[in-house]
Amino acid sequence: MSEQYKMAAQNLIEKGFNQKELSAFESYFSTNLKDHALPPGIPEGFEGRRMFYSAFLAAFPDLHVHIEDTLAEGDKLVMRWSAHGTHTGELMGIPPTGKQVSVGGTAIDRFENGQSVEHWEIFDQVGLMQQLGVIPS
Amino acid sequence: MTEINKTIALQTMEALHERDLESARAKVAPGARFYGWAPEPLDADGHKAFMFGLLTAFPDSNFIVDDVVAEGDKVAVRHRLQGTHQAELQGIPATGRQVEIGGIVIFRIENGMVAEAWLNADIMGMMQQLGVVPA
Repeated sequence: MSEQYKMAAQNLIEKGFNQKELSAFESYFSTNLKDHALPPGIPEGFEGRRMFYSAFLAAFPDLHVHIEDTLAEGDKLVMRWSAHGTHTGELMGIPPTGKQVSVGGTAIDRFENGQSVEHWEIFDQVGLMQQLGVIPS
Repeated sequence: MTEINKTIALQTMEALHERDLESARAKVAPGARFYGWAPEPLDADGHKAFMFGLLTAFPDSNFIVDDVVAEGDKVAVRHRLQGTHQAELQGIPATGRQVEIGGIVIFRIENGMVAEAWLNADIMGMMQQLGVVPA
């Protein structure tokens, strides 16, 4: 099973993020997704996760995500990633800055029937906001 | 190996929970590197010094483990740090506020010791809870 989860994650990153095919998000996440990592003010679960990713793809049209590491056990997959892109679109109220940013994060997904039904994630939001010049370094 | 590696990772978390930095340091291999702490990477002594600063800032700290996922030589631990901010932390003067900071750390275990670690912690959430940046 763990190889299947890793292939699903690779598909999410390559197709979803790097080729900007939103259908890859829809196949990775269950519509019953319980998402522990969404900011307040957007819908919960699957809909919120799709909106969150869409917002980043719109803000960073050249976004490129790289899988740094994956490990799987039982029904869980851990993925450590890095991403870089140019901030040329509005991001959650922040007007485009034209700045190139580079951030990293780690996600954990719990799978049922081949899809993620539960998602945890922490990424370097402070680093992102510092690189955008929104908060001081 | 995976079960042994899990035990070592959890013993490291337990040592942090017990505020026992000597025990935590004893599980770190010579030449170990810690990524995600500042400045990056830290060596074993740098990591210990950073954690000393963190535990000093939160004198009532608790480290709570919520999930463990292990494969091969890696162990991921999803956890929370709870504490009251009673001393200066990374330039932020004591606020007296209680915080809960989520984190995911991945340890690479080699010969029964921590050889590498990668941390992502919710520093933004911490700064919001401390009132340093708006929520």
